[in-house]
Amino acid sequence: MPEGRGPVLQGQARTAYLFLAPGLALFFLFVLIPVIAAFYLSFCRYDIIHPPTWIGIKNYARIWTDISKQGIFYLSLRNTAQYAIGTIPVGMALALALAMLLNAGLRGISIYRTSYYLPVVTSLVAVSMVWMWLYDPSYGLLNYGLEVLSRGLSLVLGREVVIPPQAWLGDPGQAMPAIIVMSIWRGLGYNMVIYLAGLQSIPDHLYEAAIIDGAGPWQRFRSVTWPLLKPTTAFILVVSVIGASQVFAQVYVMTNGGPNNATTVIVHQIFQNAFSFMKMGYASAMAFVLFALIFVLSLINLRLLRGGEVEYA
Amino acid sequence: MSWRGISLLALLAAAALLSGCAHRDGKIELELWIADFNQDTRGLIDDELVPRFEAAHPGVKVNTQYISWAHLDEKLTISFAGGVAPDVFQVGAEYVGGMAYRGMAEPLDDYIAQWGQADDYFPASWNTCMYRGTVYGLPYLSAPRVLVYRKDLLRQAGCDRPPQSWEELADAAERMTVRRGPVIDLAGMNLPVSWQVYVQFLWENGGQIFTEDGARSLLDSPEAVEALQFYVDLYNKYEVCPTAGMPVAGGAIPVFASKRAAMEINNQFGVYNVKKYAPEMLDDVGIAVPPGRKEKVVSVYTDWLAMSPQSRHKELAWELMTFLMEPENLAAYNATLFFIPPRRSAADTARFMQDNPQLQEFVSLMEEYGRSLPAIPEWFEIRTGLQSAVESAIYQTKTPEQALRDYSRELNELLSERVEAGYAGG
Repeated sequence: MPEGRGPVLQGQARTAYLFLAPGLALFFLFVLIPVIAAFYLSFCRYDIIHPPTWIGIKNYARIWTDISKQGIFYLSLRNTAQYAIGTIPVGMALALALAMLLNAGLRGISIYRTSYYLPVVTSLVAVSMVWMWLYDPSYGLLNYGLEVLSRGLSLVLGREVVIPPQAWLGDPGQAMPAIIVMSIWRGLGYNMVIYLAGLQSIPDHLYEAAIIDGAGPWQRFRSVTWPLLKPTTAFILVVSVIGASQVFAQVYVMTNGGPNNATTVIVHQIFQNAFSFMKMGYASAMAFVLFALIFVLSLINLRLLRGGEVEYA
Repeated sequence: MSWRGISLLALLAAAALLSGCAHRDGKIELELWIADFNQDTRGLIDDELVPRFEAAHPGVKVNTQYISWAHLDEKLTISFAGGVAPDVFQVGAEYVGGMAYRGMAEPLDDYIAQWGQADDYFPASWNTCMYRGTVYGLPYLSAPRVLVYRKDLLRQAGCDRPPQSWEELADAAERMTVRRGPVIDLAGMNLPVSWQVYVQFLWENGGQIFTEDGARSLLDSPEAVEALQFYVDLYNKYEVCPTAGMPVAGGAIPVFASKRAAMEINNQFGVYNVKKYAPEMLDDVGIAVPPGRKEKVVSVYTDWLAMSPQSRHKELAWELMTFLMEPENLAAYNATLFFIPPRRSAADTARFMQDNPQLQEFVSLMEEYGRSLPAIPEWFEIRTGLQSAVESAIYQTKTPEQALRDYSRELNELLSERVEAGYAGG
């Protein structure tokens, strides 16, 4: 028997490990081991069917060549950045605005909260399909709206006005914005609920003091709400950047990366190389580039927004 | 709960999981994956064909899985990696090279020689399953692409026959196009932005995608550039073909059947759609070989059945394949999907073929002008890359010449990476 430990403690430790075991086993089996295997494979040529062959840093070199030649991986990086820049600031601003409206003591707050949160819990694939119908060039609601608008304008102006139907997801210039709008709508509820929680933890007496000091609504927002929400904003920003870097499902369902590669994103490239082209090694290398990217971005985000620890005096 | 109690539970759970893998009643099980299906197909296979096959082979059970094309590649890959590949499975027109190269399809030459029915298949369909002289599957359905046109509109435009050359095609399309302001109300020609349409034009111009040995790109040839230029011109010079979606009749009715197009290059679905949505128009729909420039070609896309080299019951798997290929069974399967049965005896006798005189024309055009995609292991990458090149030219981010020169370089790089014969040992 090991020295210094009573049988009771040992029994407790054993029970603890036992309860941890299922979780740890799953973590090792489905997270840690695959990650290590993928790292190894990123230095191999591997088509899944045949055993992997070591090829050194060739896959990473290929990514580098692709980027320097502005190839398809470069395009996917650019599109992912476009997606992030398109979704995150607007999405966060809208979420904050909504949260503040709801926090202003609106009647039926729970109904609004639920309806804005509904898209978050709906399957992303289902949401994507619904939006594909909205965007459909022939019988989508959006082009129908354009047609109604051109008829209305024709009536009002007394001459024929034709607003041509748009291709939306079928147009290289419109496809990414279309996906961005849909994604903002989908993510709004999640960010809103977190902002709402942040807002509700700001004590009322701070606002009362601000009002006594003569602060108007804008000053109250600038000097009380925004600084005290900094940790919340930091959290949402980090999570949103990670989420945007990993965007995939809506792209896969709605455009499959097209048209003219206007919507291909990093994870879409990883998926395509792994499962369509059977280049598991190259896809793994891309995945680790993505990991490094997210790691660095998260560090920068956290550093920028550090000092957000709040004490409610 | 005690340590012993928990470990007992865990053991029981593991045992329950493992026992799920065992055969339930000692029967031999064959796994069949079908990718082209609808409700009628499932009814045919599940309620009629499979029960008949099982009745003729006591002790054999066929498990049929219906897998959409969107997930087929990844599921096949994973099942092969796990050693649990389906015994018989359906794949498409671009697959044979990759399947053969990776050892995912059994060479069938010996079976076929013994079977002796290969001559009954249309050559273009048959070639789809062939890689470097070896046959890896049996064609299950075919879709030949022809010129589908409106006879009445062509007459009104003053043409007494379908166009015979690219010039005539563009001219007829221009005459039949109806515009309302910036919007095309009726397209002289309706085409998707697709690498498959480009390959059609490429062949019509006497070009090829790559050399016969699959070692080098031929997309930088003048024929290839001219073909892409013509394709692009239909959109941007003649403006007879909208890049954006056309306004069509309600309820997802395709452009041609919505009476919004005078001509299109389409397979038999062009006729199917008219029958379904605008039957009154059917008599005015003509079928012809696409005009062509140096060659007249009908591109034929065929989906086929392959056998897994991992199958433990290859003889039975072959019997299942040939059972599904029996003329009446093949005809019944194709009837559910409105595809052309790829063997003559089925195409000639099938009821739905006889009921549709236009389908007979598809068959004779396929016999005379049919051509299938050349086999190469890298088709999946090529179709993705070629699609990008075609799109960049049609959406005018590159000139056709630049788009093809850029892609040609990429393709040559890709082809040079192939590890010939080194794979099995690696």
